[in-house]
Amino acid sequence: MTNEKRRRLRAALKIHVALAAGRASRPTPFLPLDAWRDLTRSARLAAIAADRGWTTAASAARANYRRSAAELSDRLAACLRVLDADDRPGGLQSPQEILADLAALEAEFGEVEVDLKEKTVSVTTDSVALEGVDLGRFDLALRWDLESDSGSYSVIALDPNPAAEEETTTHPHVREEALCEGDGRVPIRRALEEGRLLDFFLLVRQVLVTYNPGSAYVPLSRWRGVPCADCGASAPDDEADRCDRCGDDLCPDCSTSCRDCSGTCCSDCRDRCGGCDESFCPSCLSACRTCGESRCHGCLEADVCGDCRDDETDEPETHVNDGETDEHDDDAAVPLAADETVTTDAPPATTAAADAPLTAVHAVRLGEAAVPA
Amino acid sequence: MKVLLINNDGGGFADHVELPEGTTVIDLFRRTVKHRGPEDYLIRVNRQPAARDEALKEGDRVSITPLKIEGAG
Repeated sequence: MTNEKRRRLRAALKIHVALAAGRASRPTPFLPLDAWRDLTRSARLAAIAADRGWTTAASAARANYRRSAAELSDRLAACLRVLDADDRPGGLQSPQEILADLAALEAEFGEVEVDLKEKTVSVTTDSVALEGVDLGRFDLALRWDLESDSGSYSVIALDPNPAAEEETTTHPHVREEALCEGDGRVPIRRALEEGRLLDFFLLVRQVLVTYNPGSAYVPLSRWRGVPCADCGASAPDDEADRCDRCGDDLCPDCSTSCRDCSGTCCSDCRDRCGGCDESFCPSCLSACRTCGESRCHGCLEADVCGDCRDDETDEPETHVNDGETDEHDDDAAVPLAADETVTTDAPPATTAAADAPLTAVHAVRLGEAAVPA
Repeated sequence: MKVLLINNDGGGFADHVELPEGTTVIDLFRRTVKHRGPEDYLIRVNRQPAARDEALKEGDRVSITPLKIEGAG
């Protein structure tokens, strides 16, 4: 007998002893007396409500009666399963059958590793690829000295390609080296209890090569992170943002907040204020009533933008001259060009003599007579 | 003849079943799995892959394991 075969035989014997000890220590299931008491009480209340014609109360009591009956039925079925497991002919495999399983595991997986010191049996799967995502190989390590439940084996990623958002999730159904067995839970449990190692490892492998998108720690659609709608880069799901208007996913670099309401906007949904050039969501921008351009509320005054208000102040205005000169006065003297002449209007007459016909030669002065022309 | 049937589909029960002489692997499969075909299962006789028309013998151990078993998260 080779050393390897000797080691496997010792392992088969130890596994058998561990499983047998586990069975011996399994407590006898208790009768579900509490569920029975609930059922009898529910039945009594339902009968009282029906006898007294309390229609609404009778309906509720009847529903409660039904629930209690279902609960008791489930508890009795669980007791029966435990009792059946002890009596099943398939029961606990003999050491020879466990040894045969170890040999079959080598044929199935190419190699099986038995560690007597660590009390483990391990096999390695082929590389697992689901929907184009390569998850690598997995080491399935069973501790035979632990109680036969999900805590007795580990699923260890040998070529980790974990989910972008959660590095301990190395497979859609594996987190922190623990498989969430789903539909495989009952047959896996039964195979472990009976020492059917070949069946156990086959079942675990088949769970690993099956993708259930409806119930995964991280679905494969998000395995590489969330694609940004603006730049296309992938962001971990817990870092990605979402446009409040269209719902598109955004990476942290492309996510922009509206300066007014702080809402998140993608590049398609946000706009810039033509006045201050800041980013806003469309709800926080209004159109200038003069030019129609988009402005934020801070850049509008009475619904008019700054540019239009400036245009309005450029138009000419009438105002009272208070006699003071103003260097910016439009009437200030302007130097003439060489070819310019000044034409001035005659000042309006302000005395009574203005109505008299004008003499051609001289005006009358005191002490003088008018000299006809 | 009596064979040990391990049905890992659902309950994962192991039971001895009484079968007529000459029962083949596919006969036992169809008797056990009503609504799906053998292509959806790993079928092992005495821990080895077996041909569908292989005749079973007294004391054989037959296991039927689904190819697709949905995990959870």
